[in-house]
Amino acid sequence: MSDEKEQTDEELAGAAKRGDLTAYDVLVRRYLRPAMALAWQFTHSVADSEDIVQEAFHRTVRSLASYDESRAFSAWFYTIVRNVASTALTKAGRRASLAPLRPLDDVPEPEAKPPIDPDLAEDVDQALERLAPSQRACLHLCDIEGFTSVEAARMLGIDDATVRTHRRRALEKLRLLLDPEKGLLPQ
Amino acid sequence: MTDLPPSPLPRDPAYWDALAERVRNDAALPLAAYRAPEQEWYGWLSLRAPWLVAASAVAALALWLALPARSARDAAQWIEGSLTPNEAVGSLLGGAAPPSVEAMLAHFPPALEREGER
Repeated sequence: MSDEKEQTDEELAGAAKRGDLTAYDVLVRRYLRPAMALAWQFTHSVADSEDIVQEAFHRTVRSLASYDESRAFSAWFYTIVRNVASTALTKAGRRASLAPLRPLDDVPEPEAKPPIDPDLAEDVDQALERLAPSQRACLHLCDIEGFTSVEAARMLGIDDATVRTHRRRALEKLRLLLDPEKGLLPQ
Repeated sequence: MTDLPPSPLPRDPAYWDALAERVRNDAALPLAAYRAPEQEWYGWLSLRAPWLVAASAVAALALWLALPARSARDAAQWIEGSLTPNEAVGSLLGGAAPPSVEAMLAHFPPALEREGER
């Protein structure tokens, strides 16, 4: 499948537009996790994020006929995800914005990272909740989900520089909120 | 950065495979529709210019709705024209005003007079 790696998103979308299921499958695998991470910024629920992502992909495939292959697929797709998420939140009676981070008590510990002190985790969660939603989203996408600032910018529909600014301010605020003596965050 | 919370998203590859499968299955039918109608002019049009197809459908519907009304009107005029007498006696009796005695006598001579002639 070396061809798949060489194909751009736009080429794959163009092939999917002509009914190529394999090309669409590659797109799905490329964008599934980013889409879930983006949806999670709105819902803070894995189950709700799944619904949003499935609906977003559904709308994407239905709208492929109108997709302009000269435009970036990622921007087009992430706009659909954000619109679906906003609509879902509005229907649910919630404000259509990036919601605060929820406690992570139902999240399994990462395998490659050392366990987090429960007290410390609670402090971090509380500090994260006090960040502005846009700062929290940038920090979450870059430092928790591991996306680059460029990728996060595409997902959020903002400039790369804005993402870096939000992330920097989020880290500064976290340092103020958390005890710096614990050395929780990189200086 | 080991100090921030871990990702809330599932890590199990099987989870992502299953989710991708659901998304892919959901797309199979629409993608097949993109593929199949390429050879048909209607399918091609519906994919390339859905607004044109929709506009055509609306125009056809409007025409269909308008035609029966026009036919009924034409039919009523035809029936009325067909039933209206066009010979002399019919015109006399079918007029808007009652015929005058003189006009009736001109077409219907008195029977007694004719019998007397015999």
